Amino acid sequence: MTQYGFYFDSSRCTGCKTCELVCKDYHDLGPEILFRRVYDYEGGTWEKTDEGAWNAAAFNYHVAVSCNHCDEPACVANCPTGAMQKDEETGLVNTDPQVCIGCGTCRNSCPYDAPRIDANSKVSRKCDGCLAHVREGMEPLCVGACPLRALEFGPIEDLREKHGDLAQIPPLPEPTTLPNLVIGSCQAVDSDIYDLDQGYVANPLEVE
Amino acid sequence: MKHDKEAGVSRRTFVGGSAIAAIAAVASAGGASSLFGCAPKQNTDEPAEETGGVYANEIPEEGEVIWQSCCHCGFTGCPIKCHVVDGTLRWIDNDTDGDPEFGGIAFRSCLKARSIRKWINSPERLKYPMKRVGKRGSGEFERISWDEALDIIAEKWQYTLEKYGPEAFFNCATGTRNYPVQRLMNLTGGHLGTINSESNGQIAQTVNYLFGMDPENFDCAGGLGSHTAAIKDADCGIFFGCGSGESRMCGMGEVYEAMKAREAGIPIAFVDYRLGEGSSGNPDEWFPIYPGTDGALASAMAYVIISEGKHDKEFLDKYAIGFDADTMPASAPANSSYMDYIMGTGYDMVPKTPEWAAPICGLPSEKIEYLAHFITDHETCYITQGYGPQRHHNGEWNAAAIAALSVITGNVGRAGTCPGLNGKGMNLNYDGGMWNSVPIGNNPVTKKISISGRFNAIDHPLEMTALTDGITGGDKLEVGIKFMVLYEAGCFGNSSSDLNWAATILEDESKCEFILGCDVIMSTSLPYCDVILPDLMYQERMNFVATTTAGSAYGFIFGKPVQEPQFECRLSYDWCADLAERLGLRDEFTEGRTWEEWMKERYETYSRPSAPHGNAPSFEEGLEMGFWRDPEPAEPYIALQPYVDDPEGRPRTTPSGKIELYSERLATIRDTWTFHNGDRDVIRPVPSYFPEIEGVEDVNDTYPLMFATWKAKNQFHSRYQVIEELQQACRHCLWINPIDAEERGIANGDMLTVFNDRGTVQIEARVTARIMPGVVGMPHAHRREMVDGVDMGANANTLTGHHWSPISKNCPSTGSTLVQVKKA
Repeated sequence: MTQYGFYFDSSRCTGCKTCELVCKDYHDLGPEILFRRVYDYEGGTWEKTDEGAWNAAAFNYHVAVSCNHCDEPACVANCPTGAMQKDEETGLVNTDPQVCIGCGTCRNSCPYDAPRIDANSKVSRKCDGCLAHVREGMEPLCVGACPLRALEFGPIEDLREKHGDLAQIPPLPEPTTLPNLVIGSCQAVDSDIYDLDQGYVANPLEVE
Repeated sequence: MKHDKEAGVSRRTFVGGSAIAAIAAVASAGGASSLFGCAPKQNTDEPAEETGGVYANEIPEEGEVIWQSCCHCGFTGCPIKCHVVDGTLRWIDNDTDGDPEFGGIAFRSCLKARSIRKWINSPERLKYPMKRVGKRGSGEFERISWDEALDIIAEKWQYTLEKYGPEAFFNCATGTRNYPVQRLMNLTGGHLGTINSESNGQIAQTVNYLFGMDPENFDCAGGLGSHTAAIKDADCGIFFGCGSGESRMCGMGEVYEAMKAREAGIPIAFVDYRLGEGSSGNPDEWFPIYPGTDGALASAMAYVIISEGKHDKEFLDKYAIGFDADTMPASAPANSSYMDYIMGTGYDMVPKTPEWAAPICGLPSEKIEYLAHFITDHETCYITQGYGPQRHHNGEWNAAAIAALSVITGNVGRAGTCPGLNGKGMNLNYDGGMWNSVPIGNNPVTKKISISGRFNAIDHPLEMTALTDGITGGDKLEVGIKFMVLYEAGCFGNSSSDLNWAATILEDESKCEFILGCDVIMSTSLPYCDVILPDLMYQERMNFVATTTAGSAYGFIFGKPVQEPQFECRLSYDWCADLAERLGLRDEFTEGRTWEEWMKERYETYSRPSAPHGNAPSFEEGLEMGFWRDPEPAEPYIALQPYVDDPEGRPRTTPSGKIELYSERLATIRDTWTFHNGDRDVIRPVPSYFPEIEGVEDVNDTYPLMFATWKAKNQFHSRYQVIEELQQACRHCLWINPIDAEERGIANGDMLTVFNDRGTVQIEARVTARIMPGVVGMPHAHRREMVDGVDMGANANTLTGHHWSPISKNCPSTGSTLVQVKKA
């Protein structure tokens, strides 16, 4: 098996959400289903100076994630019907809609909130890394659409060799499920000026 | 500092599963997707248990691929690949033939382009001609036939022409789709014209007095400087008021050029009241200042530069007048140079020190010094401004003060420079906008008003004169606007300030007697129209576009219709020809040509010869290709380079032929015009700063917050707003700093009321440290929805003031506005 994964560069992402819309257009998802999400993580402090100006230590960056097609996917482990499986050839994870009962256990167990329950079909749906494309040797649509080339897709070993093995920056959870995700850091994360612990996801309603 | 986290997802971890109930509660939107009705490709994979292969999500058929353009964002017309299945647009891809590597050229569109399928097939499309049956603004219309609609328009046209003459005709449009209407108006005697555009009215005037233009290539027109791609040859770059990550966000836009510079090790700085998406992830680049105070910051930077002797005296003496006493015109009084203003030896006698500017701008004096040194410590600085700093009551002077930084440091006319103006897009010859259309011909009416003056010209035209309202081509108006065409989103709901006031003017049918609207979807403007005509989208017709980039590449899009026109929607050229027939002018209007024949004629005459390497295809070849790109990237265009290379041979169009840091023409205007805003309109003949109306220096207890607007990522003005997926991806929110939110008990996601004496809107809160304390803001042009006097749609211009700038008489409609905010 060749395990595939995503690389995301937080220094390049401008939060434009083209990746979200490409995915929706191609997979014909309505406004209520989101396979790839862009989290706006921001925070910081403002202090008034003696001369009446402001010292700012405000920051923002985005984290665009879909499914991380984990080595130890919690959704697969917890799926009561066996509908959620990991592909033996590519390591990509997806639900079989014929088997899924739409119980939502996958979404509850996924630390990344990746699986979604389709209100129409009442089954779990999620990013499969455009598996049909990958089987044809092509990449997922979102990757080729990113205006600023913040996304890459490929064998995870290649991505780690090229970009390192950082897999967690806030607000992502600790990588306990062994996600096949590589993160490119950014100045907001690397700098000592910003208190990332004080940050928060500022757009919760956009990623629901 | 306390932060609002209650409504946000808790830091570091997602709340997995918490939103299931909310998702389940969302009503099915199956009706919308069934519109597109094409069968997805069947998944033929074997069941999982037999092969170990998991189910692959269904994907659509490739279908027929037709190149088209996006619907325009004010900057770029991105090429898109439309995949058409069974005669219906099924999905959209971007340019997949370009170089996918970072730094390479690929015309990758933004999110807006990827939603066009939803727009073209939207249930909200205008389907039939309609006439108004309720009062203006009520939105009550009834369906009529095309014949009846065109008969009504022809009758009103003749009536207006006979009773009031051509000066009573007026056009409002975004883009070029109204060119057929303008052509027809010009054939019947013309129409009242406009000076510059809403986007750039102030800076276009700044350029006129400061730089003039090159007499051959008209550089700097509209406030546009060098290609943004020029930054690759700079040692650093500074962006004043550039929303690059929102308004020029595609893969060939300004944001990409800035990012390429950053990754090449060229340090960049963004000066803005908000941390925009251009520096997402890179907040060290952000230097926050209050809206409308760019002139103060730039003046203080100039103070540092001059007092340290780091200005380029040699450049100034050779290429400019008015910097100091050595190059002042004879008419200028003593101590009236630019340097006198900056050093406090003339004008207000105040030295423009960083300490002077700090409380005005809100930026600490040491940061102001840092920015000054940022320019002088580097040999070449790419200095640019977006259209934000000039969209203020004091906008002409903000723009001039920024541009002056380029001049005094000699960062003009050589590789890597931009003269402090807006980043220019790479464009080739076309007929206006980026879209070829029919030629509009000559307008026999030479009189022009400022574009913001249109409501004044409906309401009290006979009071408007050259010396009070900046009218050109005549001393005063003889008649008001009586016949107006609102094309596409039109003027009303987008860029006009003080919409409640504007609405009362449009509602009075005795003022503008006939308003014709034409669009693809109901907009804020259309309820005020008397007749509405349903238009085609770009993707439903032959559509020629010279695609624009930030300067490193270019190409031509030869778009063919991707779907048959729906319902009774018609091409504007065709219905204008039918209207011309009713006016006895069909042959003059069409010259015997179809729309397609005009496209070919305009391409071969103007566009094709303008390709710099002479390698553009014939029109027929282009249609075959769908999209043609020059394989050789162009070298970035540098504004004022002809002048700097040959100052005698290519003088500027200013009276002196040089850059004018002191303008005698501005001094004359100061002494001869009468100004609407009295003492608040401060006219100085040098780049300088004065406090705008409803700016930082007018903040008061009743309205303590400055209000500002920007372009949404998910809309172009009000266009694209009907697409639910885009609204879900980028919610319409009021940005408010945690300090201001805490004072008002506001949490992220709360519903807010934002108000002043002009209006009230209701909008969701986005509590964010990305906007300065004391400033709130939102994307502009959201659809206005008035309920009991409150704009529930939250159009920013329900709040903005109609404070004309002194020279261009343009309204800010993006700043110069104070508000109060409370929880709804």
